Amino acid sequence: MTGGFDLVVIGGGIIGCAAAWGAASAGGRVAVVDGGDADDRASNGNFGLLWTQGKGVDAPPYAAWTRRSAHLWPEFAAALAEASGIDFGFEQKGGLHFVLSADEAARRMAALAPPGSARDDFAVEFLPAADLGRDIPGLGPEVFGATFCPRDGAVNPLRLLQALRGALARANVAVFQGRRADGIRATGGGFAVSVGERQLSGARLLLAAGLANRELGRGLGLELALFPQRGQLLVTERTPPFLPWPGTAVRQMPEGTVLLGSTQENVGFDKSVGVAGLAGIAQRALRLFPHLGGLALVRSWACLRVMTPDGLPIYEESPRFPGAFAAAAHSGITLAAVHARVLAPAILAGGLPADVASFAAGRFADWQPHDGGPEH
Amino acid sequence: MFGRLSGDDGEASGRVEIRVDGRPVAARAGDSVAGALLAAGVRRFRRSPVTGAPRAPYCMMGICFECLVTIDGQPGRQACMIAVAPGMDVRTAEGDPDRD
Ligand SMILES: Cc1cc2nc3c(=O)[nH]c(=O)nc-3n(C[C@H](O)[C@H](O)[C@H](O)COP(=O)(O)OP(=O)(O)OC[C@H]3O[C@@H](n4cnc5c(N)ncnc54)[C@H](O)[C@@H]3O)c2cc1C
Repeated sequence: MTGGFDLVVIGGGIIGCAAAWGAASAGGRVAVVDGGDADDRASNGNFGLLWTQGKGVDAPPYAAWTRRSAHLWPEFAAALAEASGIDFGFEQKGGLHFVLSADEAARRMAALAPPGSARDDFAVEFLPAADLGRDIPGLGPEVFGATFCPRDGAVNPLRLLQALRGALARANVAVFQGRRADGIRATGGGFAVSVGERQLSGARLLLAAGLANRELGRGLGLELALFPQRGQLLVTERTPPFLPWPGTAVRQMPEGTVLLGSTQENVGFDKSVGVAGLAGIAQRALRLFPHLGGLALVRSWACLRVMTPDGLPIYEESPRFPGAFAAAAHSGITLAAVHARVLAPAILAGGLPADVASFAAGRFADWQPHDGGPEH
Repeated sequence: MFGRLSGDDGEASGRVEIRVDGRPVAARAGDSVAGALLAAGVRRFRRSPVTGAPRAPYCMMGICFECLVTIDGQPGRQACMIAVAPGMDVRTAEGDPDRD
């Protein structure tokens, strides 16, 4: 038995790492078990946006949870950069969603900033193309404008993960990398996790294994309505800076590459890329920025979102085995700060924060498990 | 800094002449453009479009995209993934590469 951890986290993607670092920062003794490179890993292939715009339009608790994370991000980012010594490109000076017609603009603004909505720092405003053109050279003639939220931002998601792993090591978190949790057992007052020959014992357990949470949860009496949704992405060669804000379909990284994405496809556990999906992304990008047509594409890839039927996260504590928790979200980058600063300390203390009460797994009691195939 | 392991200057494998920023450069058949340029003393392949910093090949296997040059008029080609061909015209970001 390796043991006496306050918290054992299964899964070392962004959710597991953020929670583990948050729990360790709050004084807990923490272990992380993170599977192999062949696993589905949303944290290794995403767009890296810290996004509030449009989140929770019909779900106020989700809007509030997302905004809470956005508020926590500056402190979280500074502390993590300090703890890890790694610059992960955190920025939070606004984000854009481009629209191509007056109609699209009107529909989006009606949803995101209806009359009477709060004029706080999350207020979305519409920027017409003429205004955007002053700051964004090469904006295509078809662009009608963009919605802008000053609280949106971005990180380099791979460096964020690297920073968290570095910070975990420095915080003396026991990280078992390239190892799967093969068995989980409730021991009465705690949990025993077998990792190969080794047994880890923890007072509390957090399942943060992305899509694998569905399988792992079953053993703990947790029915988690999770399925994959494929996103394909493209990245261009480096080009001189032209886009000072990240956008939903296009963002220029500090190094000059341009990230283009991403499809939303229900094709099960299929991570292949295809010309049809990639061409659609490229065509949309060319309407926004015709000059991208001259750039070489250096890579394309696909990654699976950790999706729920209503698109909102799931946070749950096992009713059968109190102390065993599960967390899954398809905006794990955006929510990293609130996971570290609010979710993790609460779990360490033995319960879920009140903020997430409406994200319980039980809301999908009628869900028929599926793998997100085309019929869904 | 870089030299060929054997003294063979192409007698055995066949000599290929290319042009690098207007200068004639002798390469060996089968060389990648990046290999030929490094052997010929070219140190700066491109410049970062963001900072202007000089860049040179890093991975030599098609992954890092640090070796991009203009080949026969087409910019942004991966020098490490393309074999030299007789008369090939290669332009580095420098136009006038330094040799050390
Ligand atoms: C195309 C795309 C674009 C996205 N863009 C954004 C964005 O812009 N902003 C944003 O906020 N979010 C974005 N997301 C979502 C974000 O990437 C995910 O919400 C997040 O990565 C989920 O992290 P996770 O830790 O839950 O899962 P994962 O990253 O999948 O990690 C799960 C981990 O669990 C491990 N594991 C599995 N089984 C076991 C086991 N038995 N034992 C031990 N370990 C195990 C795996 O090895 C893996 O490392 C995007 C997703 C996609 C696909």
